[in-house]
Amino acid sequence: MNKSTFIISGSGAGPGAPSFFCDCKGCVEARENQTAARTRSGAIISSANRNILFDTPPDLRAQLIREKVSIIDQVFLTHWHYDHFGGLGELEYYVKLKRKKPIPLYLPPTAVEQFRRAFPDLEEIFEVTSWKFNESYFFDKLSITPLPANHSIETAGFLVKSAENRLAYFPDTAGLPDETAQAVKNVDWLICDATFHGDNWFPHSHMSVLEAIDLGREVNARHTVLTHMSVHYSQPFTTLELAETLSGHPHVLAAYDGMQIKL
Amino acid sequence: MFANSDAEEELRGIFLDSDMDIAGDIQEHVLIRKGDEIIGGGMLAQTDSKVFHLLVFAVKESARKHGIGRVLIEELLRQPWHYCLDSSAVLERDHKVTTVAKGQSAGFYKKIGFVPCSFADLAQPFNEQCLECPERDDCGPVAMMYAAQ
Ligand SMILES: CC(C)(COP(=O)(O)OP(=O)(O)OC[C@H]1O[C@@H](n2cnc3c(N)ncnc32)[C@H](O)[C@@H]1OP(=O)(O)O)[C@@H](O)C(=O)NCCC(=O)NCCS
Ligand SMILES: [Zn+2]
Ligand SMILES: [Zn+2]
Ligand SMILES: [Zn+2]
Repeated sequence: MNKSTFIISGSGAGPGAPSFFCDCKGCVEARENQTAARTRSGAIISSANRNILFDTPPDLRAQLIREKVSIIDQVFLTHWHYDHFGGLGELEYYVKLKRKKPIPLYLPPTAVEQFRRAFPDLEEIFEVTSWKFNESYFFDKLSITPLPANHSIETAGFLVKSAENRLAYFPDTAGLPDETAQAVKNVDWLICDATFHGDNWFPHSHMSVLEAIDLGREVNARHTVLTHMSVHYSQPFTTLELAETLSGHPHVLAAYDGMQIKL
Repeated sequence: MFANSDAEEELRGIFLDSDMDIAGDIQEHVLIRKGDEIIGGGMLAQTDSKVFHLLVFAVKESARKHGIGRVLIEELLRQPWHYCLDSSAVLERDHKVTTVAKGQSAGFYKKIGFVPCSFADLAQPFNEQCLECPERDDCGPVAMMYAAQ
């Protein structure tokens, strides 16, 4: 059987951790200790003969090297925010020098025009399609379905189904629209936005750690994995303090860069 | 949270206070720090695809009874892969963590959700580690297992 792994290649919020401009205790720890660093959010489904990217954050090159990914077959974007698309240009030389044919790129419908404007020179690098909410895409024995998220612009999360597991990946969302919550009910893995620690400054587009834990409980996720984490907003925190916050929640895990989940 | 060689003496001090020692290579240990001070640590080894063994675990005496032990061990139990060098590092359901609780610590492990098991349930060589020990009667070692769901 062909086994796939879901890799969280980046688990950080927009500015990354450490942020070059910040010396809060979370960033200090991330500078000193590589395992506490968080690159911008992205994920990879990896199997013996296929790699699918979810988002191309600005840290994409370092993430692909770390995860030893040398072939890319498809790219899905959740939404057109820089921390999720900023690394698209990193794929140019891969296509020109090795792959020699465009990579299928599935964009939010409203992002197609923005892609063309932002990257007029990458037209021949990607074969652009817009994904449709609730429509499933099949690869090997997996299905991938974009579902609506609550973010400031048109944004999807992806429901991934394998023979054994259902996994929902929602790096940027504030709660879930009702129909999405219904569709991800009882998932094995809910990987979701937990940008804020403490007060949530953007309650309409992101979640706090505690809100993410509540969402996992609401949809009855078997495991909730917190991602898109800032280490400084609204209260800076260290790895130890995060473990304290999660104490008593055995089914909640903090994502880290390189975390792997079996599909 | 992994230790580097600077931490060796400090962590060894904590373990020796509890009649334990660093279990092999310092780099394989996980630490908990508060500011510059190391207040606890432990080490996990992977013994099977979904089974891990906690070789040592201790909290500094001055920091005990403040919930630190719980925080650190719960974190190790949630994702032992992440805290185990050279592990296959893939999250799956239903992993298990075994340990041998010594002295008073069985009460702590029960609180956390470990249940006593047989030494025969532990992987080699941990299943035999207490057989020949002269302190066996004083120490009262208990084999224990935690099963994640
Ligand atoms: C066992 C040890 C790790 C506990 O650390 P700690 O930081 O004091 O533990 P916590 O404060 O997090 O305690 C968590 C819970 O366990 C309970 N607990 C702690 N030690 C206990 C003991 N010896 N017996 C019974 N219960 C105990 C606490 O009361 C607490 O319960 P609560 O959550 O209901 O309040 C620490 O005492 C230690 O390092 N001991 C010596 C080393 C040792 O024996 N290690 C194990 C051998 S491998
Ligand atoms: Zn910071
Ligand atoms: Zn966004
Ligand atoms: Zn984002």
